[in-house]
Amino acid sequence: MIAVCFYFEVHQPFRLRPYHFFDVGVDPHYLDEQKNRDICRKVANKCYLPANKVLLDLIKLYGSDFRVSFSITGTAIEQFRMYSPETLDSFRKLADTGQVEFLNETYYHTLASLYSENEFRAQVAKHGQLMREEFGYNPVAFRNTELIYSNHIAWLAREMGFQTILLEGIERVLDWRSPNHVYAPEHSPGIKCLLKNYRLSDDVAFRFSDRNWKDWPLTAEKFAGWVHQVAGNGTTINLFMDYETFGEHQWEDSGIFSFLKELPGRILRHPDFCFRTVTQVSRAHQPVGTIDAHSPISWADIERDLSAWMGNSMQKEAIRGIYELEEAVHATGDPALLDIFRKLQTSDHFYYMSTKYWSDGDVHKYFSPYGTPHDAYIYYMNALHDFRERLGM
Amino acid sequence: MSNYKIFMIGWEYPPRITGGLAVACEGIASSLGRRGNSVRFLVPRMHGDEPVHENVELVDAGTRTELYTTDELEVLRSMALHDFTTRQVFSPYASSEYSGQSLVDITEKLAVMQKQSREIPLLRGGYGDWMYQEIERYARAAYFIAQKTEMDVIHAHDWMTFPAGLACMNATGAPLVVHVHATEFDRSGESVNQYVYDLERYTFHHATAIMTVSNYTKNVLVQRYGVSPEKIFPIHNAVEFELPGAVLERKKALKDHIVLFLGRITFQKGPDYFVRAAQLVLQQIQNVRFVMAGTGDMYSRMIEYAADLGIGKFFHYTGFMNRAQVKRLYSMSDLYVMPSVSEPFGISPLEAMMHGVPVIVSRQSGVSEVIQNCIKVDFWNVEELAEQILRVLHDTELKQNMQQEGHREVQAISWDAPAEKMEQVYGRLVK
Repeated sequence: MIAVCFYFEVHQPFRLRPYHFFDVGVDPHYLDEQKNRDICRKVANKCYLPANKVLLDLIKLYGSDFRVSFSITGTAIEQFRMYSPETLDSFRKLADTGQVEFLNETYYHTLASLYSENEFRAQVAKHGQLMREEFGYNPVAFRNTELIYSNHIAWLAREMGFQTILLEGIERVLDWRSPNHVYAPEHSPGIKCLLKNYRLSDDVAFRFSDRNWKDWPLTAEKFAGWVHQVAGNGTTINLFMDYETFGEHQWEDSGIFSFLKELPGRILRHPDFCFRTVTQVSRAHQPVGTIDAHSPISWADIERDLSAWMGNSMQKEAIRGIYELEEAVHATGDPALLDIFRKLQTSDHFYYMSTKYWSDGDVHKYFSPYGTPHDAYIYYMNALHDFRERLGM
Repeated sequence: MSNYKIFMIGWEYPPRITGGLAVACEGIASSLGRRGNSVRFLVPRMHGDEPVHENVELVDAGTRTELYTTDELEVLRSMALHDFTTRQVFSPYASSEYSGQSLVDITEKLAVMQKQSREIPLLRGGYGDWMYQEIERYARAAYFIAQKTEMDVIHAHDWMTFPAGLACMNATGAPLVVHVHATEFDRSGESVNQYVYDLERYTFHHATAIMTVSNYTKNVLVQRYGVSPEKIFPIHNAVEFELPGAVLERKKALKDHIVLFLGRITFQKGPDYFVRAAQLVLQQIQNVRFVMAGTGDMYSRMIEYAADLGIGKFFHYTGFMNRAQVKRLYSMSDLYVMPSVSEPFGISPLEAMMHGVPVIVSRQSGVSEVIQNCIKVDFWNVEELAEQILRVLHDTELKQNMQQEGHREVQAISWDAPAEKMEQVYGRLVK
């Protein structure tokens, strides 16, 4: 059997409000509550609620033949609690079917794996705890923020007891090999790697409604045909994408929901194919080879590296500015300050500061709540300075 | 007291301002009026909220159609229609109203517009790519109005009004004084707009007399425009504040020192020298924040520059600020720095001093010619600038002295003295 492994990332950051210089030392509220609420509710209505309904119907229809995996960040769940409790309920309903796996990641969707092992471990543990509380699920597979991956991060994940780690299936680490197999990290036996099939994943996530694409419009039948071509050449097809693909990045009128409804039936029409969760795939197969990634890779932008968050000096200043506060924050022992410290670590803040224009910059701009990368940097640095003052630095 | 009849030609007037020009124009016109002269002040467009002053009549050339005869109005309307339609046809995307429309759409709109040509504004004022045609139209309008105006002298402010000033001189035979608040070199550095430069040069050579806002600008005219120094009269700007005497209460929200850059973030204001000096200061002390207030074409580059140097976390940027915000910023600041590369005058150091903020200005500014209780440095000497910043922040006695004496000095400045000098210039020209 060849597994189709759907994994969806669900994330909403706590966006900062335009935090003016005059606010520094005066106003300790950094978050844009209205914008966060509006976006959370908008995405819930356009994506999370309708897509969850489709998945629930599919699970009812196909039983154990249809399974998916999710990773839902802590910052997303906190916002669902405040702004859209029905979204959280609908995820719980999916969890209750027993056909859905929940992965572990950093609670605050941060770059801590690159800057602070202590913060990284603490944030992953906090997220694992959240999954147990919200969904009664004890995660055993790990996906790092934006699929940031390196030998060191794989080693850390194994140390923390994970059985599986996800990464982007790019040529830089695969060379001639196929992403449609299970691999193991170099030097870290005991943990397996699942690699995103980025061609097929991005056909859905990025190209689905692109009218200039030669394969537009993408039908479930056509896509199932591409999946079926893997028969004999792999054991798993890993379709990893942002969950917001459904209804938010690709709008409903593009036909994305009909596509999702129809796809499982089309894929299951071939007797050698089934749907499996991340851990099911990982357990069913022995690694066919090793992955050696000395410098970190990710699933972001065309570079698939860290340049989306630390490609320019503004981003580097901001990241350095927040992580140098770690000791001072922990020394206060104040949980409220720790929470703010970690919300300021969320990788999206640095993503908004990216000055990469052209095709990738479009993506940055689409997601940014600010007019320019420089505005994002100015507001962040102002808030950071206020935070530093509160720490007495 | 004197009683010259002055036909003044401006381009902008408070409160609709883009820079110091409008503020200076109001100061000049109101003080001349107060002293008994009568000022007829022509502007391309009024908005209804302009301040009123004794003996100053603002004349809106763009909408007051009763200023013109039927024939004159027809000339101005056909010029406006021609300029407007030419713009639409040859650069259809230059106007947001028409962007994204096909040529067919535009042609249809043109047909409608021709019928409604009376609705096209004669003049719009402001700044944009339409203004090259508009200043010619303004000249024609000024020519018509000048013929019906009794005047002793024509007084025109900066290049936008030069064609109008020359036209009025031809229409009436009255002497033309042009007032230079900034030259093309101040605005554009070395990459000058040739059209503007040529217009300035031609006008400087044909005007009866020239007033400049500083000796610095007089030298620019002599050296770069070949103007004879005998016809140039430097008359420094003044500043009058609505809060006479009161130093603002100091408000400290942050414990660090605050060093302020306030102005357009463009080449001629020297923002990069500010950043480089900050880097040197930060090598000595860390309890200081650098605030850059304003926007401009170097805004994002300066933000990145500080980040490149690894001193981003000591910088804050405010973007454009209104009057109240500027005041608030002054009340928080420990030091104001104006490192201009080229500044014909520069009014904001005076504002800073009025608010009790110590000031460092570059010697390449007109304002450095009129104030004493400040520190003056060459803009390129960032080591010296950094040293002086550190000195003011550390030497409490010096700082207090600069605050008190600076405030006293600025209070004594008024538009009366420059107005009297202008009258003396008029007196030489009027027979």
